[in-house]
Amino acid sequence: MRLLQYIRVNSEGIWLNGRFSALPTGDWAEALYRQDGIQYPKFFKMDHLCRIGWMASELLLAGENDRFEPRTDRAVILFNRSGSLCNDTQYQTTIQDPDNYFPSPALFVYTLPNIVTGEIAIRNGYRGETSCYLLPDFDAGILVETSRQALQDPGTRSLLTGWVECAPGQSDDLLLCLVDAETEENWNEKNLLQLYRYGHL
Amino acid sequence: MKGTTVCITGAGIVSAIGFGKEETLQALRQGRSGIAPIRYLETTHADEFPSGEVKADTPSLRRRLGMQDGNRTTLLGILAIQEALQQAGITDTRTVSLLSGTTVGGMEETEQHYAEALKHPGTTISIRTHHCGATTDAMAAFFGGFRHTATLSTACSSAANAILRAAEMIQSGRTDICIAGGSECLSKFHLNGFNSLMILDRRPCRPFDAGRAGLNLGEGAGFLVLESEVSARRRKAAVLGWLNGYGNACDAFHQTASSPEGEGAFLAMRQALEMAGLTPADIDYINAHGTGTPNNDASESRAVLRLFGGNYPPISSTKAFTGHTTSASGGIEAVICLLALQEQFLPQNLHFSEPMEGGLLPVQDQQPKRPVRHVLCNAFAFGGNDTSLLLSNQPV
Repeated sequence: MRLLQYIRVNSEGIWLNGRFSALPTGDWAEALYRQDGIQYPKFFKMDHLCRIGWMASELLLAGENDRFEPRTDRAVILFNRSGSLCNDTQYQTTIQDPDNYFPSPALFVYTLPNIVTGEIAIRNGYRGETSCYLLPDFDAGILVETSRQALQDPGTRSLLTGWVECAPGQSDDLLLCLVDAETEENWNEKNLLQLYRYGHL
Repeated sequence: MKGTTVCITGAGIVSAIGFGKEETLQALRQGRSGIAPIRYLETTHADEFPSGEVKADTPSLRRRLGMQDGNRTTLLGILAIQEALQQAGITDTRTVSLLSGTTVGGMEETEQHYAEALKHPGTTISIRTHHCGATTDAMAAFFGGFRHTATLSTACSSAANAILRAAEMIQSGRTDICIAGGSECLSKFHLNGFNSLMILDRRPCRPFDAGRAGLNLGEGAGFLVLESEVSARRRKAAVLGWLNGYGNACDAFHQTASSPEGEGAFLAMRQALEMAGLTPADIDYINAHGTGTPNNDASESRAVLRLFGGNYPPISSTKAFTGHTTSASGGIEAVICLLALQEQFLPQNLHFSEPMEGGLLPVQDQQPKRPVRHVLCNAFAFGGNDTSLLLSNQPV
């Protein structure tokens, strides 16, 4: 398996294929969206988890040829720890008060952590596998093993996979990778852990 | 299917139409729906939205299992797992993997304590059993632990994806035996959430009918024991059926709505057929996702017509019996498909009177016109995560 592209985002900054840039202050995903002049109004309807996962995938995939051609051979398999807790907390405020009880449909749809995989698939026309797994912590071994299994499906040739974690009061923590089935064994637990720790290989 | 053949050696089910396969089969054969006014979930909508509740309150579910505690999702799961393991003749679960799909998890129990806990700052409510993984762990603990447990949470395709994942694990040689499916109880959270999306019918749901106006929620659990054929033979376990194919595709259209052409559904069903090396003409029955919402049934009809043409196989939604059991639906309906294969009947599509424009004519007559050998079981989810399982009464 071959690692093609990667992006690491944490409180210290952004590493896109090893190149470092500082994190814009405030909502970094929205700042980058505006900075890059992207036209995708649905972005503003998304919850925080979708926004950060979506924006990181935008940066990761920006250079890809024929990017928006619908395809079935790419999977999106993401992992995190806190599910959709950021949005769940916000949704709770709409149902908290019995005298002011207005469950928000716009927030309700994002109370599922797998919606982020769908948002990325919608943007890019991916009709392959989409899954979302919750783990106690970042686990390079499970990420590598799961992607290996996904590529055993002959219909799947590449996948967008990684860790997209956010929770109230905690800095965003992402590592998103584009991997394909070619034999260049740089997709392994050791490299993935290195990327997660240092942002570059 | 290439590589290891995956067979089914056990099945367990609990839903609004009964505890266990026997009661389920009786209700299906007699056309007896489990949809009724809400009796067990505490909600102001009790008489407004008919639902498919399992006909027992939580304390009596605990008594049934001799347990002191445990939330409803856990208890329903244990009942179905117990039945499946028993049928498969498995007493020691330490070599078995448990894959369970749920999205509600322990939310329903949390709801009972949350408001009270907020009134008393300083007290911490126990949310140990709130998250989805906790319910799987509690199910596992009841049986003395499994070799490996995992929780899949992809909304309404969770259980179907647990089954798919189990098959992948068996095929890749990681494990010989998996018990996979899903469990979900009714909660205020998703009843109100679905209501906010305006997709709940105030009458019993009418899948595929021109007058359909939404879904009824349900609850329950359904699990299959999946096993490599080699392992089943070694254990001399009776083989009940085969999982010959499966497909998962993303509809890539909208967070909650299905595409007009049913692209995700079409691709998932086609993948399942391709994996099994079967053609559309080989399929003898489709258990549709068929929620009863105007959008799903139109989109799914379109997908079926695209793949099968006008000569499509008998198709029905059993959600007018059980309600939409959300994350558990793929497990519950896979067990119903297995019953159809074993008993050679077609589960009927209740409350159908008038076809929709460009829609399908669902099953009205339980008697199949030809043997039921290969069936597709569909489960589609928010996020556009669509799965189709291909179950058979013979290997391919």
